Amino acid sequence: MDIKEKFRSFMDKQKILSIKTPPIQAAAEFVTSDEFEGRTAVTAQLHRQSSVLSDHILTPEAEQAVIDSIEVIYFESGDNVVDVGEHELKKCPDTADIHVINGLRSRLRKQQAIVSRRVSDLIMQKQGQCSEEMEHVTGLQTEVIKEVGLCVEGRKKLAQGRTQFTSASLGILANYSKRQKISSVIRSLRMIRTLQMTDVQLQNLLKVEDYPGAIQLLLECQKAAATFKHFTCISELSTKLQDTLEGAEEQLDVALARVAANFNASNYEKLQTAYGLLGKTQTLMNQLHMHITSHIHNSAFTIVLGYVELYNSASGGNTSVSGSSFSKLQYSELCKYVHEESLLPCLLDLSKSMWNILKSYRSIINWHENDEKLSRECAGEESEQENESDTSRKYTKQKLKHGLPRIWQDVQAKVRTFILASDLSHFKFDDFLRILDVINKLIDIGECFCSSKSETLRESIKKQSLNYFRNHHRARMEELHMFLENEGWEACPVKSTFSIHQLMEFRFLKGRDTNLTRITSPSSSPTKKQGNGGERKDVFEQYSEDGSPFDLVTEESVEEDIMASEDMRDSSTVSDDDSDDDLPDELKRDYVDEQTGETPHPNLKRKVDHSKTPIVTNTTLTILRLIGKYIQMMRLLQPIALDVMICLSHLFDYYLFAVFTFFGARGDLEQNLSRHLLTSLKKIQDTLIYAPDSPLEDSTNQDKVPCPSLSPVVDLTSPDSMYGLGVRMAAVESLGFLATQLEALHPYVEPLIPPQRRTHLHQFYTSTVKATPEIRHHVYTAVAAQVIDYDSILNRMSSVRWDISDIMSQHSQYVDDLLRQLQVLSMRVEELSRVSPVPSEAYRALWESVVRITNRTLLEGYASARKCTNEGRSLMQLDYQQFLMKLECLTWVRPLPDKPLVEGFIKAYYYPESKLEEWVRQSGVDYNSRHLTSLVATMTHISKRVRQRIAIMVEEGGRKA
Amino acid sequence: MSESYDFLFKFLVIGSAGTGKSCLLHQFIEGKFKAESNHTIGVEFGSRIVNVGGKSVKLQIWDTAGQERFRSVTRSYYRGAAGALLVYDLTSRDSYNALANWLGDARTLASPNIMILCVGNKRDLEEERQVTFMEASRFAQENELMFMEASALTGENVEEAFLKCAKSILAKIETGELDPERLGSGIQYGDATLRRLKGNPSQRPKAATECMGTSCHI
Repeated sequence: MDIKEKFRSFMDKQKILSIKTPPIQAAAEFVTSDEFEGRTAVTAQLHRQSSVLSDHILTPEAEQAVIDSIEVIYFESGDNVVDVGEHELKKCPDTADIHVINGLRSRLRKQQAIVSRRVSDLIMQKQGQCSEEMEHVTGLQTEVIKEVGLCVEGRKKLAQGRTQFTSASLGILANYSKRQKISSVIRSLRMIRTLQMTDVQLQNLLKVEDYPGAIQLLLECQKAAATFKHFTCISELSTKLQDTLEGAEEQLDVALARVAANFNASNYEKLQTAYGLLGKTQTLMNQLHMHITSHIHNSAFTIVLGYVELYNSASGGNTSVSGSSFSKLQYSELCKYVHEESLLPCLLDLSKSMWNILKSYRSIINWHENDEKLSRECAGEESEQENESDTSRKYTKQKLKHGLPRIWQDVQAKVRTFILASDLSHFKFDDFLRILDVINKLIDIGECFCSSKSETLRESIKKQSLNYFRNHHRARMEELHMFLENEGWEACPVKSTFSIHQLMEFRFLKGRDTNLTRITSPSSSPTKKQGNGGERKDVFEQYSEDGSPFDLVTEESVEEDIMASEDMRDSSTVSDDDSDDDLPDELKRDYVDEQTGETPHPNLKRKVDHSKTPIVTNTTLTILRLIGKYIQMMRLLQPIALDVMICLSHLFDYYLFAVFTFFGARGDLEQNLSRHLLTSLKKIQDTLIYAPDSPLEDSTNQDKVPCPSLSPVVDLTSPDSMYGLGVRMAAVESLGFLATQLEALHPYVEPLIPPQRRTHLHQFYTSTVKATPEIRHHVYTAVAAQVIDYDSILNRMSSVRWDISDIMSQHSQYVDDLLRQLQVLSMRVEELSRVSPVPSEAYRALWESVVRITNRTLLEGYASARKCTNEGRSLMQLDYQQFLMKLECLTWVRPLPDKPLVEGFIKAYYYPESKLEEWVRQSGVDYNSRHLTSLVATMTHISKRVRQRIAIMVEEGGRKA
Repeated sequence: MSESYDFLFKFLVIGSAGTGKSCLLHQFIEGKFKAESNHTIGVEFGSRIVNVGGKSVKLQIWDTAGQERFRSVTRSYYRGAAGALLVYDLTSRDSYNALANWLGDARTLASPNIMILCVGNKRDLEEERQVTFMEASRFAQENELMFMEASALTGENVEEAFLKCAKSILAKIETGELDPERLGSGIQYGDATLRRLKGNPSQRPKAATECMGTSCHI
């Protein structure tokens, strides 16, 4: 308001002024009042001067002249303005002369008056215009003032508008835009919150094992997070996401490990997709293999550790290693602590877990194969993508293929370490078999898994088998030694239908046709074992669902169990008085049929004439049982079949050796042994019999047994027992039975031994087994040589006179003596056969020996006749005929050995000269030269010359011989 | 691992057919019941090392056939037995009645100092019992036998029977009543004892030397 007031008063003053005084200056601008007053003062001055000039009016020309006389200096304007006063003063003379100065002054005055007039004239001239202009100016001024007012008004209005309108709406706009920004922030924040919330969902997904979903979600989250990365909180979130991703990958890894241990197709598929999403399919393969390897390692360790600790805690754990430190041991060390009781279950568990791993691996391979098949079916459209996945598929395939043998190798190594760590040699055979069975199954699995020959396992099996078997065999030989020393050499009263098939140990020979054919066919691979029949199915297919080949182990090994079996109960009952009469006949037929054309029938069984009951001793039975077991071992311990066979032959050898030393070796008769038998016996003695004077520590003696000594209850010397004929018979016939059984078993045994290594088998069969008849002969000869008192017969014969001149009608006394003794023998044998069966071989061998020795004795007796007449010769004939006649009633043995020898000798007496020479030449070899000489000496009816010639011939022949 | 022991006792298991002799032995040696078993033909054999009173004793057990027809062939194993288990079936009176017969065989054929433990087997078949504990116990007392009832099926008293018999033999050795060095005693020194005896070689019994020869192979 103040400003307005001032404005108004100021404008009023101007109005007044503009009327009174001519405007010298335009006052269009705002001027302060002080200045304004100053102007008015100047204007007043001008008024005064104009009044002075009016006094001096001149003509215009004069005026012009005066003006022209004005020095230039006065017109100077601008920069050249000089002080006019000083200029005028300079004009004054140095000496002041008032007149001059006056003159100057008057001129100046005049000039000034004229100029002033002129100026005033000019002013006057322009007055009208000026006031006119003034009018305009004033008009303008008022206009301007009006405008200013408008302006001010406008401004005022504007200011008002501004304050009242613009700032508010701008604020609104600003707020609006702010709101929009905030809402977008909120949106982002919501997203972020969702992102953050996804973590929970992720965990849930992972928990329900929806890996691909989880990974997908994670990747989306990461992408989303990347778009919000301008938020500070996001960086944290994305690190968290990264962490979660890593966590998820870890989870994937764990899941992978689980799949590696126990394949699950859906899980694996999820994993595959998940890893695929991560673009880490190759990593998956690598990790998978790593997991499998470590799983093999860990589960093997855990299982073994479990058993070690279990046993240790059960036993109070007083071992040197305390329970807690077992876990720090190396696997191989740990294996040594497995107690033998827990070894089998531990091995089973180990195998089962290894099986599961292998199965998982197989399933993985199958899965990939299926996957490939599927993808090939839907291939075609996206060829580009195919290429990429193709390479990764190839990689996978390659990797899996290479993994097979590696994994198997790992498994083998674990099992091998486990097996070799313990000493199995003291295990029971059945348990050992179970262990072997497990290993064999593993080998089968290995074959199916990667057609591996499983050398590692085989080697460990062989090592343990050999160790086990050596030990086993040593104990058995020990036992055999004991049996031999306690043996009473009495025939065990088995049924007449007895055959080894009734022994449980030989069950495997029958009722298992599949097995049998498989075993007997030489083409069958030595690595195969029982089960699976003809064509072998893939174990992995067999147990594709669940379970493992090891679940059946107990059951199956019960089948293998030598000592017990259900289905064999009836047929294997050997000695039960009631139960064994029905089956064995049929059984025997089976057996015979089976054998037709292959091997000689077991003779003992077919001979009906005397007794068909086989003669076996307790020791024979023991050996037979052992042989049965050994053959089974050969089947089961394929890698060491030959070693087992050698040991089997030792059983027989030892028995043979014992029988021979006990009953066959009798004084001077020993030298009659054939070379063949001698070498066999020598070999047995060298390899089997432990020499008492050699040092005990000698390693070669390790497998040897002492020479058995005959049980003192056995009587071999008393004539009442016919010098132990009964026991000898039991011994030698049981040996024969054993040999026959071995022959019969030959076709079963042979295929079990690798063809290139059968020499030992053949040697055994051709030398030792075939030697039994000779041993029989020796044993019976030993009896035959003692059972008749040959010397007394000889004595009695020597007292018979052969140079008689009458034909005798009565035979000599010695024949009766001899026949009486033979009759006693015959009766005793008869008696014996009532107690225990006397097989025809035994009977024949005994009688042949007796008759041979008797005939030899008679020959000796006849040859010892110094003199002999024709009549005497006929007495000899009579005696011998009598002897033969009676003897033929005593024994059925035909032909009687050496009968032609005696007969020929007696008859030779009658030969004429010519025939005699020829006879001597032909049959001389059959007789002793002493016999011939004495024969010729008695032949007095022949010329002395011929007799001498023949005597020389005999002498030469004798020398030659 | 070498099998070392202080003594070796020769044992017999005798008794009528079907009394469970082989099952007892199987239970003792294998620790399990032999469900499928036949009559024994002749003899069978089993051995086990047991610990009796701080001494390890190897029991060499002959399991004989119970059927009458095998009697002659099993007799040769009686000789020199140090201990015997005389088994009857407590569900069969016949098998109990035959005990005297078996006992006579054992007394005449085995070592004169033979320790005999009478075992009533099949104790698990209580409801079929025909022979009471009391009467068998009296029989045992009258004949100076030890007595026990056992079950090869459950394993009850099986180990105890063998151990009891071994223990009393060992006790007799310690009191000097039994001389292990006498031939036919059915007792031999094991290599563990032999090592102790080594200081005085003259005392080394012949039987023990043989035994050492055998045991070194194990």
